[in-house]
Amino acid sequence: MDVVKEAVLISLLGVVAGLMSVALRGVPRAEAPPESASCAPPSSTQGFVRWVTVEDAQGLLNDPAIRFADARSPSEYEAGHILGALNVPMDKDMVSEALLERLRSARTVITYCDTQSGCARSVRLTHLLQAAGIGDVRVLKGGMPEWNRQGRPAEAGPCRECP
Amino acid sequence: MPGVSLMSRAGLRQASVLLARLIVAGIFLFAALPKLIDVETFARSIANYRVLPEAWAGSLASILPWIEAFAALALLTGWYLRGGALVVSAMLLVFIAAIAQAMARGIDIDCGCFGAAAESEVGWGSIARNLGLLLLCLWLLLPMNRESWRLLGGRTKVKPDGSSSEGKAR
Repeated sequence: MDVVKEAVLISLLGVVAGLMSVALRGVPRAEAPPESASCAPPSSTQGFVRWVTVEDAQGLLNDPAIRFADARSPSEYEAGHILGALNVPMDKDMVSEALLERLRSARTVITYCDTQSGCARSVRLTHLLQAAGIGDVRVLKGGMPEWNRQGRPAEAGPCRECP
Repeated sequence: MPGVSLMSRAGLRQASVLLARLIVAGIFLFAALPKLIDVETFARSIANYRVLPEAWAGSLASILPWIEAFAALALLTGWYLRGGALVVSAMLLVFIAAIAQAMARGIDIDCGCFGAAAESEVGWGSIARNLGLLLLCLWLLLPMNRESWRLLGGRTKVKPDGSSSEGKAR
């Protein structure tokens, strides 16, 4: 039998068996999680988003060419942030020119947020930085909660390097 | 001796075809079974890719594992072997495309490749695995590999016009 006919027959067998399964068990429900539940960007996100794990990010902590950008509010930042991170709160949905100048000097910028507040902030910051011409911007997978959970270096207090 | 060399080459090729069949069939059966048992988890995995409407994810989750299973059985038994390889190849191309678009959109999810049986995040690793399986399937589809053993019933036989037919075991 021709290979295409064989393939069609096999597929039809699968479809028939699947439909019989639906008839017996019903159609399973498939609810995708809320968009901010896992630090995954909204599906309407435009642009390419790259991710970095906590393990890889810590390896870059002492690299002067890497900057961390905390997208949370100033009070969340002061309660505890990644060592050396800049605070770039997304409450006004913009990044000041002074902060952009500090971030442009970096080879890579890693943004992060708090998943409980909705990870859209770090992704939004990523897109703003990319639009401002900063090429290599990545989002920290798991955000600050994962960083703390793994016991990585953090500090409290106001942003010393912020303009 | 040339005769022995030719027999060895043919034997090696037959062995490689059999090995490819077993690897692909084994992996696809291992992937299909947990999805057949826990359809809802697989439906959620499909929905997580955010490509299809959620209403379609449930139906697709009910049908896709059956196609995987039948294609795997075709590879395992040798009956409709090349049709099975073609079905598996098409599925692998779709899986690779789905994973690649999830990566490009930054969607951090389990790929759903093995249902609830094993976690496997979308990434270059899952793409590489699927590409490897695709190469094995393409090997099975090559015209020179038309002949292969069947489980229960001899081997396929190549007719003069190039199509396959049943044949008795020699």
